[in-house]
Amino acid sequence: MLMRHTQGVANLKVLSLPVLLALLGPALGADLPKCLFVSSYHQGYAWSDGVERGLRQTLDGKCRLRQFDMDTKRKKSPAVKEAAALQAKALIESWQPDVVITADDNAAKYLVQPHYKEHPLPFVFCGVNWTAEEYGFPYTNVTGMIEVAPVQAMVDEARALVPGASRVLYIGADTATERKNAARLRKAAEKRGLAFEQRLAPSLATWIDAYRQGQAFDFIIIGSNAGISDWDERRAIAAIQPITQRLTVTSHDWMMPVSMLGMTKIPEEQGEWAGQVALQILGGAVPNSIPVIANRKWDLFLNRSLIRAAGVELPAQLSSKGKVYN
Amino acid sequence: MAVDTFNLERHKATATLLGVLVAVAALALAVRNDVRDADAEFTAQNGAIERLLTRRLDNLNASLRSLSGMHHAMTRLSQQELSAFAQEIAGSQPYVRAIVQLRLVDDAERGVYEEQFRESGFPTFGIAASDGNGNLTPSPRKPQYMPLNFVEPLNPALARYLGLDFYADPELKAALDRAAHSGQVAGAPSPTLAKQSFLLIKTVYKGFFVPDAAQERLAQVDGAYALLIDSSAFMAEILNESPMVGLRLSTWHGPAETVLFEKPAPSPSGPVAQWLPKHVDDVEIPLGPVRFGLLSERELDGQIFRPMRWITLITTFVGLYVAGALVVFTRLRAAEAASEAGEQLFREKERAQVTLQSIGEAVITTDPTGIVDFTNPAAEQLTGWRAADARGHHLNEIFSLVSETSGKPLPDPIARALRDHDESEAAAIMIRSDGGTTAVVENAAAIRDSEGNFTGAALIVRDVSRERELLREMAFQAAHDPLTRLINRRQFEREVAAVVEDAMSSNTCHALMYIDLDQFKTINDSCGHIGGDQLLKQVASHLGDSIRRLDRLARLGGDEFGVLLRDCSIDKALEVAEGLRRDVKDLRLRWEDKSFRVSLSVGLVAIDERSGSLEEVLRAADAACYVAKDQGRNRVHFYQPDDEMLARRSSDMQWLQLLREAIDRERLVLYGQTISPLHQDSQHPAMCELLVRMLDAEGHIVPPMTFIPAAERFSMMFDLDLWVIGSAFRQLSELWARHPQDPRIFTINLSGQSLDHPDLEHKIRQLEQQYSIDPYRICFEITETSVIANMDKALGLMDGLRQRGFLFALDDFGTGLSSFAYLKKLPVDYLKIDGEFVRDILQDPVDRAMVDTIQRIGGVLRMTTIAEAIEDAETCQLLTSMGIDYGQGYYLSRPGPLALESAASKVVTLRPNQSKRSV
Repeated sequence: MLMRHTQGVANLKVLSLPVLLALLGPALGADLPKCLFVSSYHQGYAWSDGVERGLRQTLDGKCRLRQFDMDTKRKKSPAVKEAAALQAKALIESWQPDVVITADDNAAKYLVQPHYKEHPLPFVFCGVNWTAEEYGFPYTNVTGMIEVAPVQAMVDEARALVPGASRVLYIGADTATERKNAARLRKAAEKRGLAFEQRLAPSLATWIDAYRQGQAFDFIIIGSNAGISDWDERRAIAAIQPITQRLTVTSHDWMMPVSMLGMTKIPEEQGEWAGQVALQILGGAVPNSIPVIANRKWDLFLNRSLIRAAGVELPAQLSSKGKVYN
Repeated sequence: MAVDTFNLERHKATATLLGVLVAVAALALAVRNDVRDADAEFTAQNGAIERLLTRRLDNLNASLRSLSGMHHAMTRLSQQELSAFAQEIAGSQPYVRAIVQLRLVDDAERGVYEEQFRESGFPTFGIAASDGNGNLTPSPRKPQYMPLNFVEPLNPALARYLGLDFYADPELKAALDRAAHSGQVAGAPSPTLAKQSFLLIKTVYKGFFVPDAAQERLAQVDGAYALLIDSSAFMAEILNESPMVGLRLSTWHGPAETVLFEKPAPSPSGPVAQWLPKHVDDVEIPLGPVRFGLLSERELDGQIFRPMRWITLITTFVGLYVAGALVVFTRLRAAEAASEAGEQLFREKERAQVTLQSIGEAVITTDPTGIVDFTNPAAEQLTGWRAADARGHHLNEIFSLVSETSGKPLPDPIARALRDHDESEAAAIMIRSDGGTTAVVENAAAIRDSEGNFTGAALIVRDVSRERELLREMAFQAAHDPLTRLINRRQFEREVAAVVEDAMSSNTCHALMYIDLDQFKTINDSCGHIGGDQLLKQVASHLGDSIRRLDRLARLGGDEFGVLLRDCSIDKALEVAEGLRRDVKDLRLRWEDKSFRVSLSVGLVAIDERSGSLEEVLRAADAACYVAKDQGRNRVHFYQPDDEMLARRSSDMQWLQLLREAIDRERLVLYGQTISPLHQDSQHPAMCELLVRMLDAEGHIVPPMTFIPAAERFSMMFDLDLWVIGSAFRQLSELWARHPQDPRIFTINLSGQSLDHPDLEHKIRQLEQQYSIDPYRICFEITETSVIANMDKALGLMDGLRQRGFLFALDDFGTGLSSFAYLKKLPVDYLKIDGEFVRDILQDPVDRAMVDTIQRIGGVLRMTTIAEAIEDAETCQLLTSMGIDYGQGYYLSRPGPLALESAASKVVTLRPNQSKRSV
């Protein structure tokens, strides 16, 4: 009798699972379209996290979002990147999303361009630096947002703060992205008659060394540290505090601990735009009917402790306008 | 009096007319008030709308002035800065869908402008024009462009219009020129950017300040800012609060109007709407030197009316009027009442006179002594006395009344009315003064004055002679046969019952005859029913002429007659019966050009004190008639209690009873006898004839020849056949369910009585459906004599059932040689050669020739032949050699309890068996 009862309960469980799924399906988003987010990097990387935040905020409740991180910031070998792209491709084929959103260059380079060019599946990219020309975007199935930094505004602002400036140093990680960024900045600096040099550091030590060298320049532009595997923020701050004499500017908000002035991009803008475009596509829009555009928002930050430590004086208007970096 | 009444009516009409006018005036006043209120409401509503729109347009203008001011004040205005400012403006005014910046681009700088955009992250950017369907194509070269340079919020829907040249759209170009020329806001619809929206545009100029002169302004245009307004959101509150109002928002530049938003007023509903005025309000909303126009309108409809207010107003007016009118009418009414009473009396008298003149009943009134003072026309007709002549005569002189049943005089109706408390009714025969009579129903009532004094009587007499005649006719029809006009069985038995009773009580002697016309069916078949009926009438007439008046002749039904001889000894009765038989035998009946003879079978029974009950007398007469028929017809049989013939008849009746019980109590069983194919290579399946047997109370088998004659004699063959068919179908249904491949064909015998029964085909079809029988495996056997006797019905039945698929076999074929003539007409599948030809076929060359002939004819007609009564191997061999298809008989198989097990078609193996015919 007891056995029969137990068996009955087991049957009830078997029966109740599909029933529960049927009942809860709509609540769980079973009837929503499927959106796959392929991030070039990893969770915990500040830029990627911002993009993801903007994306999730836009798509929340409107599609089932699944994320795949290629983790190519920490694993740099081309073979690993290709393997990550294949993993993403396998996921696409098995999960069959309605639209794919990619963030940053490596997803565009290793996943979209080789595997999904002119494919029926729509893609929305974001965070591709400066230009999508090298990937041939847009395709009929691909549109998105270019990531640009306010480089000219930043160079002009620094130049205005350091009257008579003629030499500028760019310090960043030794990565392809940073090389692209450096090229852009070189153009903006040279447009204003400034001599431009760059140091791309593979490690924290070389980065600190480059920073030290930068004190001989009129101002320093701080690029991204993404790609410096042994980056230690506290060590970096501790190393630069005593030696800083020159104005440092950056367009990356996560580099504000080691920069005085930040004219920083807003990663959420990338994610929000990608989300809005994905919704338009899910609503029936053809991807290439929506133009590829660039981000246009940035914000102003000041690292007052570093400014004070360096003894740099900023104009009162700028000093009061800049947001305080914490 | 009539004149006074006329005046009063005229006053009433005038008063009513005045009342209506008062009510109409009150209604008109109420309507005017409602329209005036609706007008005031509309005006107030419009004021609110105007104020709201003015405020909103002022706010939008202020926003554009802010953007313009910022543009003029700053040397460089980055998109980042503009975006921050625009977000603030858009957030404060929810109906602002977007803030747009346009930049004037000369053709010479177009390339640089586009390249800068592309380099800054807009790789597909270019100055473009709309094709009118929302698609953008690169703008052709021209001196100047006004591309969309910035939009906030930047969303995918609006981003695709970055670069759209506003100068390419003539309407937008005109608006931009107006704005540039005036330095103020201009409005324009914007179907390209967004549906149901419009643009408010303000031009910005080069330098820090807006040029003063119009020409200078046109020369220094730098671009423009525009607010993209969502029309629905802009007007939402107004439309929600004033759904019945139609609105049109436009800008005016000189006499030209540019419509920015338009929503027509809903069509009015209700029949009165077309009669109501339409409210229109055209107001101007100045926005600096620019005029915005707001045209609002409302079609009034029945909803503006407030019926409760009408009712109140009309009630008040009418109430006051009625109060006044009542006073006047109360006086007039009193005068009218007096004249009305006289008029009423006159009318009622007139009505009574007319009624009395026109009703069908005779009405006679008398004074208390019975002297007539009034008769109506119906009374004149009934009594034969004119009213003037009757007046002053006593009622008894005009007519008298006697009882309808006894013929005795009835009491004086006036005295009866007084005695029966004023009113009484009686059926009677009226005897007029000329001696004529009429059946009547008379009703007498006393007339009294207002104090109850008897002042006379009213006599109402209704002629019921026609009703009586109908009753008599109905009574006659109930007791008589309509064809011969003789009394029918019911009446006859009633009279016999009276005679039986009389015999027992008064020791008198009477006689009863049951007469049956012999072979009358043949006459009926020859002449048809009409002819048969005519001949029956002739016989009835002859019989009626041959008996005494005090005797009674009745038609008992069909060709049966009954004769009751009252006060007649049995010897005399025998004499009469013989006389009747003889006379009818000699009678030549004629129908058209044919002549017929009929004979009578007569059963005679004495009715005396020993005869017993009515039922016993009737049964005895019937039995005696049957014996007369059974003994060869055309004879008289006198019933005697110890009659041997009757004893047999009684035995048959006992079997009949047993048979009924057997059917009711399922004491019938089915036997089967195999009919075997005689040839080794035969494709014919085996057959089985189904036979019925009865079990007695102890369960012993009763031979069929014991009870079948009784069933035939007492018309029970139909019931018996139906039992066989139903039982066989039920058992076969079960057999075929178990052994669907059983190839046997089962044959069932149908009697002549069944063939003649109108329900047979219907019943067979019912049973076929009930048991889902496959009709191709059922063969009905009918004898040639029964078919010939019921040829038309038999053919109809066979056609009907063969269409269903049932098979037919002609049983006992050859017993009547005339059957060869019919064979071509009969749609049968099998010929069963009568055993009479088979039994002696080895010895009798005639029988052999007969069988051979039947076989040949069967072959020509494609009928399968079956030889019955094969009782030895030699006969079987001979029949096989003659080509007979099937054999049946004790040699091959004895009848036995039906074992419905599957049996494959098999060819008989010749073997000895007992010699006895199957039944």
